[in-house]
Amino acid sequence: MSEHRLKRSLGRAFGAAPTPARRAARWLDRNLGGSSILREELRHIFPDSWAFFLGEIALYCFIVLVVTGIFLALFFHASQATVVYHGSYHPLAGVPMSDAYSSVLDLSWNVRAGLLIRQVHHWAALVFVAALIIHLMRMFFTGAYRRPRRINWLIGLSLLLLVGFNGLMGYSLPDDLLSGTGLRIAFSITESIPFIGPTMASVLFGGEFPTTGIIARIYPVHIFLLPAAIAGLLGAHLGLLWLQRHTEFPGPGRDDRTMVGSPMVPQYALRTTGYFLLLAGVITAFGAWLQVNPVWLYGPFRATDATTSAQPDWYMGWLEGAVRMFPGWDIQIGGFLLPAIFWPAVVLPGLIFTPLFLWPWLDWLAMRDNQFVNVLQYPTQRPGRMAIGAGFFTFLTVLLVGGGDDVFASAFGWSLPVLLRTLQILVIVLPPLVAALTYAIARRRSERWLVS
Amino acid sequence: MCTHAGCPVAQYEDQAKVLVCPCHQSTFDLMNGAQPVAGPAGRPLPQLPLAVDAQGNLTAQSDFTVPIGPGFWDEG
Repeated sequence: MSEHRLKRSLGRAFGAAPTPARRAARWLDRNLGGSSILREELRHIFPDSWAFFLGEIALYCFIVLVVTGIFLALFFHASQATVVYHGSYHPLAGVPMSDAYSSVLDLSWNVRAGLLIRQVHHWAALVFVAALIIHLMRMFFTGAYRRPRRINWLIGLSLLLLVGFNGLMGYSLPDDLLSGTGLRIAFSITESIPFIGPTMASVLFGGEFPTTGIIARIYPVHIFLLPAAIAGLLGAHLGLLWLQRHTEFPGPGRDDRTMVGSPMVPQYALRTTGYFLLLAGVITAFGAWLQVNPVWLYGPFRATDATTSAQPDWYMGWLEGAVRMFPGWDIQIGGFLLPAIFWPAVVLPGLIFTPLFLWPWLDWLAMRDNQFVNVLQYPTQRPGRMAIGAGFFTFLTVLLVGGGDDVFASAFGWSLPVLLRTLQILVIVLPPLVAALTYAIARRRSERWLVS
Repeated sequence: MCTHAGCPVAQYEDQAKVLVCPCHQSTFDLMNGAQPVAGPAGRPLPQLPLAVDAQGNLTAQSDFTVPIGPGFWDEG
């Protein structure tokens, strides 16, 4: 059958007749225009690899967070006015507490599906940050940050910062003893900054800790300002991705000008919708079966109390570890005090994130490679980069372990000061060792790339 | 209040006669002016000089000699 006749018979079989869908499409085109753009963009090609679905986990966590967050906002009271609890959690009956904490107890114990939604919200945040970090590592180790994607690397990193910070704001809202302790440490860290610290802490918190207005201040930041910023950056991130096309792994028929993959409609759209449903299902299962942040066990925040085994959410663990492991080097400078906590809590995050933000340009300075690229590199193709990444990751992992040193010490019966000293040594010794080992292994493997 | 990050130093270990902060495990030796002996705190816990008066009541002889709580720039 000739191509012309094939097309004609297909046309007869599939709707030369004006079906409702066709009529609707024609109406839209007459009133909005743009069908030619749409025809083009619906065929937008996405390359196929499991590694390209990591960012989508993050995107779908954000959607789950927005949906569950709206539900929680119906029941949460952002007020620290004192109330006496008379809800159905009996161990706290008659205890004076803030309205905020009481409303979280109510939505956990008395609102239908409230605890489930709260736990799904918390789990989605935990998975969100994990997905962002794994996505970031994929970008790093495959060289996806190179021109023309440097700006998108910056947007992605900014998203990581905003999401992590909004997570911190979120788990500060219930005003339980653990979250109040976190706010107290945040106040002390802000206060430690030279010159401006005390004023800054006072302005941000509305006075000296503990202040009665802090929950009301955090609330609009957590539910409006930061989510709006995150949504805007996500839009920019995806817009750039769409315009620049996705990167792809090297393979037959693939170079910086051609792409092999599946079209947006129908393959990719179906796959990614299924992926969203799967992720939402898994997170809901987490929320249903795995308890997270049982605030009723901690009790209400009181300035004179503190909990033991006080750990932040996992993505703040590296910072917690740094604060625990840094020695108490308080420095007196001519009548002024530079508290030791300034170094691990303010300087260290700057030292970690500044090179990350500059990385695409550092890489360019090192490699003198300024081409527009669409084809990725395999990690072992660049042994030096792989060594730096592995060392960096090791450093953060030791800090993360340090954030739970009291838990590890009591679980394994170790002496805490000895464990602390060991971690202080490991955090300096281990990263260069891992980096050197990684370099040696990657170098051996990279010789295969040079041969082929 | 801990001189490190301002948490209530609320854990007393009877055997070692130390106070441990639950936040970052700074440990203060009660037998030696509450000097930090482990953990990230750099300065001892501020002391309130106590005395027993003629009626046998506990009284403070003066205010805290240094500011309590975490350190900050203007404090030094």
